[in-house]
Amino acid sequence: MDLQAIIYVLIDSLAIGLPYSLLALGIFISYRTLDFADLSAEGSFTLGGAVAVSTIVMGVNPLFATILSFISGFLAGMFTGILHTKLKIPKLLSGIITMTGLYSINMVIMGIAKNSPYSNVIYVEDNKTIFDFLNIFEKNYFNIILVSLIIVIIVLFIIYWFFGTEIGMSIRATGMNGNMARAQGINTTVMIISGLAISNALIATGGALFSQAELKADINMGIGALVIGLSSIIIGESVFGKRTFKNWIISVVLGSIAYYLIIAIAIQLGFPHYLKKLLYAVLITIVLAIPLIKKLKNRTKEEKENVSN
Amino acid sequence: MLVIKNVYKEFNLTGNLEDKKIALNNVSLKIKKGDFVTIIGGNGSGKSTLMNIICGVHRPDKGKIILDGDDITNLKEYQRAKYFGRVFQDPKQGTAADMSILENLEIATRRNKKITFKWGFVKKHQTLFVEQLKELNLGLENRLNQKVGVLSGGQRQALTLLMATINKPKLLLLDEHTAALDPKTSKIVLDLTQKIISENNLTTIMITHNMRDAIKYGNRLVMLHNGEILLDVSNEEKQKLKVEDLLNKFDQANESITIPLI
Repeated sequence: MDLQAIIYVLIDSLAIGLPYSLLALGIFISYRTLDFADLSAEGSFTLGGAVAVSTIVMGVNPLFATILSFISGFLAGMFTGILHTKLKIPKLLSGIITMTGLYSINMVIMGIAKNSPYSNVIYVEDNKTIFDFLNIFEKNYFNIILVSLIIVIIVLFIIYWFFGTEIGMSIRATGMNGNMARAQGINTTVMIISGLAISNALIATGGALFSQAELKADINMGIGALVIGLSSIIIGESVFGKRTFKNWIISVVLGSIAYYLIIAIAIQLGFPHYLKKLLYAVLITIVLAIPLIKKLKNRTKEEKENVSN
Repeated sequence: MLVIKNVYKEFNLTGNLEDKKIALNNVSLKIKKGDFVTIIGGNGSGKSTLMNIICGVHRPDKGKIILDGDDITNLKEYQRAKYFGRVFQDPKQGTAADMSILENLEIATRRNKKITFKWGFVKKHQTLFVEQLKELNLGLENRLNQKVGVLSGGQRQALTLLMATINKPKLLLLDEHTAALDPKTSKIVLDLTQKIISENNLTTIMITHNMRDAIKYGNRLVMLHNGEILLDVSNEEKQKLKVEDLLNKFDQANESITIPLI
């Protein structure tokens, strides 16, 4: 790879990795703090994109459109939470139900702006996106990186603050140990519903940023979202650590960028596009095996030390 | 203080009538303020069910739970938590492993309060926590920011005990809280329990299957068998009680059930 290609890869992974880091942070909240592998992520990521682009096309201010995406994701997460806590549907199934339902809802939302009953794709066209607010750079991807970075930093501050409040701490305790939480007077039902709502709100916001960067939303943009988010989280944790909560959430963002760096390098090296999803699958398998490999390594190291002692 | 009134509870997991198991058969128990009651019984005697019904994990099929004159039978588990301090059999159950000692204690101090968006860490609490952790004598006072997951079973149980009693609950519920510990640690935790209870004058129910502990601790002993109260002795009468007496009682009860079957 020459220097130009390396710079291109770096910029590309920042411009995709930063919007996607909101997805990773959302999945971090459901998977890591609530211990809930929430498949509704796949639907709410697309939902965020569909709501943002459709409302932008209808003339809504892009910032407000992004906030609408946040709200739509919030509602989707609440729905999954209610399915699980009130109707006692297993976690995985609750997420699948929301994801499946959202598929049709997303098509209807994308149809609205086109005056058609449904649509599979919608383009931003000549309308302004959230990245046009700070039109500092000539090249659009620099604006994407800058605006995304500002939003991500704001979100990181809010997450850090929120999970340090009494309610945030209770959500974390609920995910870690429901029995303990209830014994400490925490209403675990409310905590699960609100945790999932916040998680999906962030995921939808990620979808809103991503679709504005790509200048379109399409019905399949959410496929693999959970796998991408989980990979980002685990790469972040194993490379950048999770000693404190602050360190942990920053690692998730960096992990998301690192993830896209790996993908971009693979594609730059000539990895065919149609095998991209297979690459995702292989990557997450490797990433999930990292803790086990580390453990084995430590064990053999200890054994060697024992022998030498 | 706590009145358990004709509580009946049966479990029927398969839906088949023959598989019906009566866990508690019209159990009534009155616990006075300041009582330290030990509850003893074999497997399937109903002691765990009784505890779960008091703290709201299960609802009784019939009967009432009354605390200080208020009927709490229909309150959910988390709604009753403000009255109770609980320590579980499994040391992992009482604390959140991936949170620090400090965070666990901060959560416990809010058990009887409404939680808000206020910042969860209060400077003033920290000095209080350090003081109370010192009392445990386990060296935890210097490890406030360490995750609870790295503590030993005994340390976790002692911490849970502190969390359960930090805001002086109306009733302390100990559910075989030393059963998972080795004999030495078990004794340390039990002595600690005794100390905290007498210092704060806490009303306590302690479930155990160790007859010696049941006799040694507390001012009242209740023996459960097949969902019914077999023995209920207090004060002087309890002090005279020996392990053999309990064993005899247990054998008698078993005989009265097995003989008709032969």
